[in-house]
Amino acid sequence: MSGTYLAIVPLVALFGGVFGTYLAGRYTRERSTAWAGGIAVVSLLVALAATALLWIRSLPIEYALLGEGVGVRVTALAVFLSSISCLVGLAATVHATGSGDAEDAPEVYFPLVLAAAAGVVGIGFAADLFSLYVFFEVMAVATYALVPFAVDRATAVEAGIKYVVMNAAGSLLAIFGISIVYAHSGGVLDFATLSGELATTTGPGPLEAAVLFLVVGFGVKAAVVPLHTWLPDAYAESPASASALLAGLATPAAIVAMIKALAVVPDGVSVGLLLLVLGGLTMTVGNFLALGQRDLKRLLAYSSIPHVGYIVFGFGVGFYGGFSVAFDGALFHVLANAFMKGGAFLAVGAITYRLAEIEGETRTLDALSGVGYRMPVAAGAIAVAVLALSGVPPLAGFWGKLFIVLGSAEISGTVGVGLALLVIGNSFLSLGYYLPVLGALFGTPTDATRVVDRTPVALAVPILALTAGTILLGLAPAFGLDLVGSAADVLQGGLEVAP
Amino acid sequence: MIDQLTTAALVVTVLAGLVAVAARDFLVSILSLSSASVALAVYFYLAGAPIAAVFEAVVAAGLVTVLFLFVISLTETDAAERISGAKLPLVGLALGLLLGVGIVVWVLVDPTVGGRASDVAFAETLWSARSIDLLAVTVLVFVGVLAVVRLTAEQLEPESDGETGPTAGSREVEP
Amino acid sequence: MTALAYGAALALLVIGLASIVAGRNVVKTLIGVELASKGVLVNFVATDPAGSQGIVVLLILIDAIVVAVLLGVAVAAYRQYGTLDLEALGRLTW
Repeated sequence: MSGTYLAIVPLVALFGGVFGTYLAGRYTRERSTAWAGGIAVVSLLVALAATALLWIRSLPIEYALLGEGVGVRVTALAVFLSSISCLVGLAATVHATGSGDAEDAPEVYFPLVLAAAAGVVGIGFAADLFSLYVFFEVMAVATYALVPFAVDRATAVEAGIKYVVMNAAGSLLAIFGISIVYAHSGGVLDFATLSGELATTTGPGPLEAAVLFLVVGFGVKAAVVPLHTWLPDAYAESPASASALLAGLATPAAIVAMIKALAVVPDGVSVGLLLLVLGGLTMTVGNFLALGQRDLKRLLAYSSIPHVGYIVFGFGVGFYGGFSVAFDGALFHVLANAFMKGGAFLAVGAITYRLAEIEGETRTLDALSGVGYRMPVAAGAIAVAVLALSGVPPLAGFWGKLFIVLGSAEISGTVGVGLALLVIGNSFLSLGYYLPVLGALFGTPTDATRVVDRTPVALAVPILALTAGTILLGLAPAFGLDLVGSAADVLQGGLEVAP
Repeated sequence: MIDQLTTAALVVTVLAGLVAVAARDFLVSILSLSSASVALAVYFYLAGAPIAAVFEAVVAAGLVTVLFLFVISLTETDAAERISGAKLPLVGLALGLLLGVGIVVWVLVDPTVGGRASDVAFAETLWSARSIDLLAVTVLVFVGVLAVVRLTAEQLEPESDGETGPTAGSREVEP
Repeated sequence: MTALAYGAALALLVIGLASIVAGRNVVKTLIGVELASKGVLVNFVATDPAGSQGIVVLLILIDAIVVAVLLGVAVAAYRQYGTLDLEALGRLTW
């Protein structure tokens, strides 16, 4: 058992960081953003290093704090989520240190960011269904305060109200679903035995209800259509680094939490079909909603909805036919989405930060016209991100979609071809709103964009890092597939642990 | 007898819940919610979950009720007058605490009730069985407090500093 | 007995959700959240009273925190708009 305490290190580092950044922000001179941000970066780096060390050990590793009871279980899926969480968390933290996001309350902002990251790490590490909910709730409550963080701006508070009311109701449905599973399995919640336990129970009735509750409950946080209505406002109104955290991390993590909870359901219940329909609906409706948006941040927010759709759809195909390539594709898209969406939102934040110094209205495509000539880093990052998001081949977004299309084509007959065409059609549809973004960024400069300053270094570093991730993951997908493949196997195997 | 009591507790919970939702008066709503919590605490106790009953009584019936009353007194002026007249928050908190303490005493005095282990044993099992969740909930409590401080402390005028407690005015107000 | 408890749990959930969906006022919505969460507690206790106590205690704490944060958002909204009426808070599109 020696050395397994390493399993708890990522969580403890982030939890410690929550308290550490509070103290640093609160008690250093001038409420220093740099100190709090520095401690946040350190704790995220420690968590990332521990995750990397865990990855080279033989998984799964189990660890309970006192050697008994429910602890954490490190699987490939846990490593996968933990890596994404730390990477996006790092980018958001560095960005928040450089921009004004955390300026007026670093002692609150950084703990919230770290708690959201820790929640996502915990979703991966959770060894039983209740732990999964607890960590999901840690992430959710942290974001409840991040969305309306600018409490003196009325629109932010209103987006916050919408966000917290809908998501609190969603969390309730999710835990109600978990309580039904608890009742149905006779008090078993541990992932290691739960799927076996559920397979032996008779009568799928309550279990089907539980699946519905879980899908709808986690689906609210995951912004599955028609439960997406909070998303555009929440993403558009929260600070730039919080938007990146929500879009790149929290929302996809909610999908993974949903899938992790659903993975234990035996084959008799048609989870796959439900997810397929919801995923198809989500990507199509999301793409149509995004068409015609003129506010860049809002456009990116709307365009997150179809990506939720691709991921849910991929998992749906995977559950439906047991196709591992679809699981791979969906999880790969979670990874790619973190880089693409994270980079795009941070870059928008940088542009807004600079333009706000000059004029009032800063986010509509007209106001941004030609900003690419003065801020090549930020605008280039957005260009790479939107190309990747629409699925242009040598970039990260392409591979996930390719695997999902390949998976759906495996469904026999015309249905499979139709589903594959649905994904491809949606990708082309998304060009309808991504191309105007490119046109605007490198269009005729306005008075403001002609004199705007270059991207600040502290903001350029995380943006470039995430953009580099988007490009590298596209050029060498094998790099990510190693981890993604093992994580997908864990999900597909119903999270069972061989005794 | 126990069965009838259990049934009665559940029925009262649901009825009080209905009243809480249907009532037009916010004070009636909140106090019904509090009674629903008390009835639920009784059910928990009868079903054989005494510690859960204590928590339900103290936290849900007491603390949450006070929070609701506090917000109502901030936002609804006519309700605020009636609250300050009756000192309802104190009454609610006192009721919840009394019930909680009562259950604890009952359990301690008569450990045979329902045939269950003592508090200490429960604390140990909670800690050893759910240590990781306990850790997460501790962080969650801290995060929740930070969130509430951030969301409510904000008036951006220097005069309002300290209005919502010692931590509330702690943010630097830019001149 | 257990069946009755499950029925009560479902009733509490439905009442709570109805209040969340139909409530015009944020406070009513939050009362709905509290009620629905009690339904979850009943489900756990009815299944295994002694064994689920740890879960139930933690859930009660989590619910209290969530309601506190929601009330915090409500206070912030009241300070911006001077009302807790959800329909008056409809400036951004749903």
